[in-house]
Amino acid sequence: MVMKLFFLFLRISALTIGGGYAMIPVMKWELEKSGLLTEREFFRIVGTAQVIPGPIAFNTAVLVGRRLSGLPGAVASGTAVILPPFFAIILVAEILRSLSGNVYVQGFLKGAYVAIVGLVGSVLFRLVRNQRWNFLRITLVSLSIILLILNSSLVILVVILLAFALYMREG
Amino acid sequence: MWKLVIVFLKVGFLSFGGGWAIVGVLKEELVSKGFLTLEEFSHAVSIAQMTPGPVAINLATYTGYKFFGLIGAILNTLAFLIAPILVLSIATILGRYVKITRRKLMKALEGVTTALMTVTLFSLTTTIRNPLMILFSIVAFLCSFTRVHPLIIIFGCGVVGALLRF
Repeated sequence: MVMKLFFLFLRISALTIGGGYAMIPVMKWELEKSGLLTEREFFRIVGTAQVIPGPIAFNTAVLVGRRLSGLPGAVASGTAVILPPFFAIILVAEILRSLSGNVYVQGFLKGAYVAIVGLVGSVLFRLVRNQRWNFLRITLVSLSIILLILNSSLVILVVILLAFALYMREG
Repeated sequence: MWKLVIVFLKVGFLSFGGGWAIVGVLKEELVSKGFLTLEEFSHAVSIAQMTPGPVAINLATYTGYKFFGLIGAILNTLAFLIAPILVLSIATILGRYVKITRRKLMKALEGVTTALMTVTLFSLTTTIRNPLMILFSIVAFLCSFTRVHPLIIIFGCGVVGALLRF
């Protein structure tokens, strides 16, 4: 089982481009298809993965591994998720080092960056749309945004206070 | 090198709700402390998104490698993952407690993620100055509501960028 988990997550991680949220549906499909987890169980795990700091794909893999075969499963799944991107990044960094002066490469990266900004905007838009907003929530979130833009070194304090305040109001 | 590792260790604890929430904070940390120029940061973001794996880990690996080679890449990646590993271990011990409060916590963290992602978007847009580029961002934003795969949007804009030499 541990080996099976390792190769399952290795394959998903190596073949899915586009960050953690792109990997979640692929994981769900693969785990359901191989009969390891039901959809319900999987989404429970994703819910837990979301409330823990760290990349969601990594957290989900570790939790699935732990669920299916304890600590060895967690270690195998977590390692499998981080290995492919690690080597991919090093390869890309090496290739780019020799091409960094090229105007076309620079243009390509700029163009891709601009698209990414638009896509981040779209993720934010959906996030805002999916929440239930009330006066207090709007005030607290806006206040935090202003504070963070003015002084980013306050980030840890602001995040803890905001999380605590919102948590107390959800009841 | 330790300064860089500490940046990623710190940011690891803040990374809720997908990597994009902390990119804004990372930009402040990396650019204001002089690790990367704005230009280099925007290149790193493009590369991190276009390679497999979570964006934030990729950024950690890339910056580490760029400055200190393989050792830097390994240390940065691990530093970033200490927070989730620690919290996962504690959560295992406090398992029952965490399960009861998970829903409320998730809703609260959605608010936190909204704040952090707005800061990310704000700091990402400060590197865009050309009106044509703003237009492309808006096009990409609109395309994301169609069935077009995000990667096609990213690569498409990349190719146009290369042809126009942004």
